Amino acid sequence: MSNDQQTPFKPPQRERWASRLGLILAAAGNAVGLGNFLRFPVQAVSNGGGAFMIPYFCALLFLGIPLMWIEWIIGSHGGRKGHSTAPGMFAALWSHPAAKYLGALGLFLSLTVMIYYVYVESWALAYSIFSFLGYYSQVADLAQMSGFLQSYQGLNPQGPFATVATAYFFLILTLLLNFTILYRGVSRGIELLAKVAMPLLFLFALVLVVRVFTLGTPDPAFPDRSVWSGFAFLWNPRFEELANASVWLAAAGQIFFTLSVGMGTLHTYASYLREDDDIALTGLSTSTLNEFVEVILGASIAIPVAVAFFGLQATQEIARGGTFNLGFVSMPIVFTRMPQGELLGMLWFGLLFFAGITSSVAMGQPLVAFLQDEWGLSRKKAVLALAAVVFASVQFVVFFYGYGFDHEMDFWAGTFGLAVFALIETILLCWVFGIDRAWEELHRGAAIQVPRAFKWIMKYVTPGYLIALLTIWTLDEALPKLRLQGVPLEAVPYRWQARALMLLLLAGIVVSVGLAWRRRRKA
Amino acid sequence: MELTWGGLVFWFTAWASVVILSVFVLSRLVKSSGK
Repeated sequence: MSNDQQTPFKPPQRERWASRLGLILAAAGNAVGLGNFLRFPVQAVSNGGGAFMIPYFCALLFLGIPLMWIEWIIGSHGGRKGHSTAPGMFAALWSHPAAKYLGALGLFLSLTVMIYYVYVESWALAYSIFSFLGYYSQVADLAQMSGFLQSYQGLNPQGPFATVATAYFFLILTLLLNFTILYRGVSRGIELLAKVAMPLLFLFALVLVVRVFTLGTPDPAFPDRSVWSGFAFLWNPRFEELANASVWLAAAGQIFFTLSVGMGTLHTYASYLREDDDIALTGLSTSTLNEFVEVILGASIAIPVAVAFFGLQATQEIARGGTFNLGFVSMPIVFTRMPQGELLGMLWFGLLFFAGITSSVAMGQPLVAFLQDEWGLSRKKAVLALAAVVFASVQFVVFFYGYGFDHEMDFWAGTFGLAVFALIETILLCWVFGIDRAWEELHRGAAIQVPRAFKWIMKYVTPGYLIALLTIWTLDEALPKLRLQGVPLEAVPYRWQARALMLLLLAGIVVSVGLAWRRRRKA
Repeated sequence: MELTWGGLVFWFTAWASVVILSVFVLSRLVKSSGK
């Protein structure tokens, strides 16, 4: 056993959050993403309507909140040992040479998800401006709007965009914004962004929700198409679907995505806390804020409005088409048919963009912190290095988008990888480090006493839940995806390229973790 | 489609759960910041 992992490594000046409010908003901004407004309502209507809330709240209680606390504990404990990222934090929990390499997975996941996430985030920025300028106001129906989106993505040269150049311009703009914020640092960049973007996101969402509730029946020729039918579609329970295991899996998956756990981002945010800052209440606050945005605001916009304008059957089709279909195809059409649609469209895509950027900077920060802490790079050099890797990698996502390049990354890193990492960190904290010490860490300076039942939940129920989830995902989804079942023949080489890129990124991170530790041993 | 009593119950319960949790968290945050 080497003792290098336990050596406290103090970088010259650790960054800190300027205020608790800033920290909560930044951590909630990390959690609140496109999924709160698009993925959640689609999952609910596809998995039992109101009855979906039973497995959803079970997953929140037994999986989401415990994992949130687990990550806050690991992060604040690692921060006190001078580490801002998972490799050092895991090494501080388990003094075994392998620990840092397990932590490397956290860096890999946040980097990989950031690479395709910023591209979708840039669509929201572009569509916000298109809405304001009335750029798609002549588009009349769902098929045409789908063609508009494909044209924007460079997949339909007959559409209004001859090439992918416009999408590329907005991508560059989004990347510049992300890296400028990261360059400004934790309190002057990320925290400031959260303090501006999160209240604006709330305001935009609130305006849209009020508008939805006052929409009634927009077309009297179709009296059955009303927002109340939309709410009925969303909330009327279909209990028979609870017997289906896939509904429980969907709920667990949604909780995972919505809270942004299992990615290594929260750990980094938690590492900037002061020695005795409260993590129990802060962790609970960010989960609660996220649930407020998801269950109250997120559920009350896209689906009710889609039913009011397109009817029940068409909305079912839209929901089956996935979250992007709902956000970037059906919603723009809705805005073209509403009074002040340009403004409302700008607010909708503006809130998606704010939800996106507060999450993507959180994904970039672990890499920047790793290069600063473990490699001793200046912030400027660290941000430039990350920018170079993201810029080079995102080219594949943009130019091979039509071949599902992003789908491959989204499944292996953004879905399966999150559960694997979450299981590793749960076992490391609750079993290797010890649940008693973890419990003590959770209550260091805590303003609340967490019910003791959670000690048992964190040790047994959460890992059990994760093992069950991973087993079923492996059998039902991972194995068929690994064999590329159902992938069109022409897309197969691109899917392999996506896998090669991910392996390259993972190998690069593992090697740089190993070299950083060797460098430190020599120092 | 009409909103059923079951739908109303689920809608109300989901919102109420989130609001109650929010009020609890907010009150604790205010209390702890005053210390």
